[in-house]
Amino acid sequence: MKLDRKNLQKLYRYAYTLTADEDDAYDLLQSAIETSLNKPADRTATSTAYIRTIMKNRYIDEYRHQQSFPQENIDDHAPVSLGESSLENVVIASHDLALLWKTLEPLDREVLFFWAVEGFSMQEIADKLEVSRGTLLSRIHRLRRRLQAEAGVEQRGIA
Amino acid sequence: MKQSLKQQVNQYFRQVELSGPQLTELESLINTQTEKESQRRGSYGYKLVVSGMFFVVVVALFMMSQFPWDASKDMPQRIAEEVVKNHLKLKPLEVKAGTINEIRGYFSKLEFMPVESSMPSLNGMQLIGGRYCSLQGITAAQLRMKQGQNLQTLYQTQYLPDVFGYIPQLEKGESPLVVYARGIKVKIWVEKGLLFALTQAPDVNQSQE
Repeated sequence: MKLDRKNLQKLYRYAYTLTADEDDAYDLLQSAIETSLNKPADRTATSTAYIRTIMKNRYIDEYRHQQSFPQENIDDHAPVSLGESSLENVVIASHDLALLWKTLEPLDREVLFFWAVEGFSMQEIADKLEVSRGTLLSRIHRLRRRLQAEAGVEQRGIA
Repeated sequence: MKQSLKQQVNQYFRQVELSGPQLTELESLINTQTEKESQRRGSYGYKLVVSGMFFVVVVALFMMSQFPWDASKDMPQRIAEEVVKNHLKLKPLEVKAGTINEIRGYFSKLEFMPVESSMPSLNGMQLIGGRYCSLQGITAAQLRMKQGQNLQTLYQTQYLPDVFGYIPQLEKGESPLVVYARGIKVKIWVEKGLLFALTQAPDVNQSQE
């Protein structure tokens, strides 16, 4: 896949999803591209998926040195009363989202990015993040609770 | 105004984009590398398919003779640019250490052992700490040195000639490369099998004579 401007922007947004900082996102993207281009030539070397993987691994590595990368124990069997549509009904003000964004866990930011920007289904997101669907729904349930508590989100359209 | 979370996240990400200069820099990086790669693959393919044809041999030989020169042509400049960029950022140290032994204890995940250099330019500099970093995609130790009131950055990473091209080696009596990036002098050399890059930013507190 050609790394054109559109793909570079997509990769940059993913890097920003991880870092929540524009300078760090650029550094992360640049170093991942350099790494991918230094690999022996094959078809995966310049694919966006491959570069995403490098960015995520490098980001986790960096976090291991700076602080622990969030490794939360989420009970797969925790009661989850909300389905895939639980985030669809949430409404929030833009300034609340901007304030909250940097305080979210990187994994929560990834979930929101894949769901809202990339348009992935919950199963696709679970596959991407290599977690079970139950784990993902538990995470979304907690994310939704946090949004309600900290940003005063509302639920709409439920009669 | 409140909108659905999905719309808000989408709008939020619309504002997150690479600037024009950033895009240009990344495209330049990609083009430089892919040109080299296509040259390498091109010459290989020709040799296999039409190795008997004289003009192809000439072209392949030409490309092979050009490649080693081209690969390392601007590498020192790129190393200097990367080192200076990170030097100016002065990101927080992950470890504070005054000796190379303390530094070694922290950098246990590197594929090399940080060492002391005999480069005279390091005389009068005091090691104060470091952080994990990378140089041209290769994992590196970024060490911070104090020189009077001034801070300098010293990179150490394993020397991979295929990646970095030929860099002068101190043990062979060769002088380090001196490259300027963003107005800051950077010395680059190889010693004890490691590649070193040292900033020599002028002391802003020193009065001009």
